[in-house]
Amino acid sequence: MSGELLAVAERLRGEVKEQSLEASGLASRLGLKASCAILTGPSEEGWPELVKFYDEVVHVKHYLLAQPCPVVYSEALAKVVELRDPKLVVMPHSSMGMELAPYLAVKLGAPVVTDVVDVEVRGSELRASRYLYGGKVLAKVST
Amino acid sequence: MNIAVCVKRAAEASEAEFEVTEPGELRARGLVYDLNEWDDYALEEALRIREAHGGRVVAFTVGGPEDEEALRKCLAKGADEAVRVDAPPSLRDPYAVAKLLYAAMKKEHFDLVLTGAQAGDDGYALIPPMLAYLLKIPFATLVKRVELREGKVIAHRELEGGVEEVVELSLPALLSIQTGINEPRYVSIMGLRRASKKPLKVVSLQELSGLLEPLGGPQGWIEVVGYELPKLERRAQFLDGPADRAAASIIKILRERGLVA
Repeated sequence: MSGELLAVAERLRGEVKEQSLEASGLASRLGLKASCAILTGPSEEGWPELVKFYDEVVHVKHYLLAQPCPVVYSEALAKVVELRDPKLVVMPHSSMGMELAPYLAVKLGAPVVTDVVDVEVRGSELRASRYLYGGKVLAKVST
Repeated sequence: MNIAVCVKRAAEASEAEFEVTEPGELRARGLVYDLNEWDDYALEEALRIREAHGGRVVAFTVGGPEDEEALRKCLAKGADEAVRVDAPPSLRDPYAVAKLLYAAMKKEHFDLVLTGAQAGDDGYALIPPMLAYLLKIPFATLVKRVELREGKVIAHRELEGGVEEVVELSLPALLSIQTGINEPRYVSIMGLRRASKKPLKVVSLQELSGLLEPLGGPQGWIEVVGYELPKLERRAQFLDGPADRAAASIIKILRERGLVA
């Protein structure tokens, strides 16, 4: 599979979330270029730790992005997606990701799967694994 | 204050046993179906808001006749009306459900739309933001406290690590409700029996087609194509050999998982 994986990085109390770094490993496993997007207010510096993990980091700065808001964030991310045309967008299944991912997906008209624990390539399609019934069953989801 | 509450008849699996059959189908024994736990809290919050501010509470679900059980429970607890969008099992994908809920409630004006934060069985937690997008109204998820003030709703969100975020939204708005926000009221068997006689509206896909067509029809996006039962044992990998070789293996594993550059 070729193309780009775009990870939307997130921080909690100043630290980049582990999932935001793990996504680079997923990109290399899927054979995709690893890119990362961060959205911040205008005065915030980039997050240097991300550069070690990703081929490219896209830093979007705007005063409206100083506080995470799914509506505003999805506007900015939709632009990034339009410019870069990634194969896959990933983000942490966090309180922010749970708001942002479905909203962005409908905006982009792109399928979305949440709470994913693994992704595999099957021919030209991606299959996501996620748990059902409180972890008793692992489901393979195709988009 | 008119409030729509979206509910689901969900499967409770704590006592259930699962088996994946040879063609890859999932067979379950001991599933118990009831009003989704998160939706029960959303309904209770809606009833309390109506009791304080007046108005009416309308419960919506998507599914077949068996899913009316969840709506009957809502009526027994005090919902004023209940609406089921009649949809086959092939239209239970979260995006399909969000579209059907949107189309069913679009013709009426609701000041507030409440949903559970997620369903206990599939746990996608996709529908609230999708529905808010389609309705073009502001939203907040994982809400633990609701205050209404002069045309606005103040929602207290539960974030990671015990952090609480407070957001102000103008009405109409959608909130996905977290468990523990209130104590859902008890409903007696007599109450359920009385509710079984209350009218319940069933809406067909055909009736909603005008609103669904611009969205590409009622179809969803995702499909479960296989199941596995997770292995119960913990997986441990032992690295044998001299320390330098073990250290090189550890670095390789960490790199593969994206934990070091």
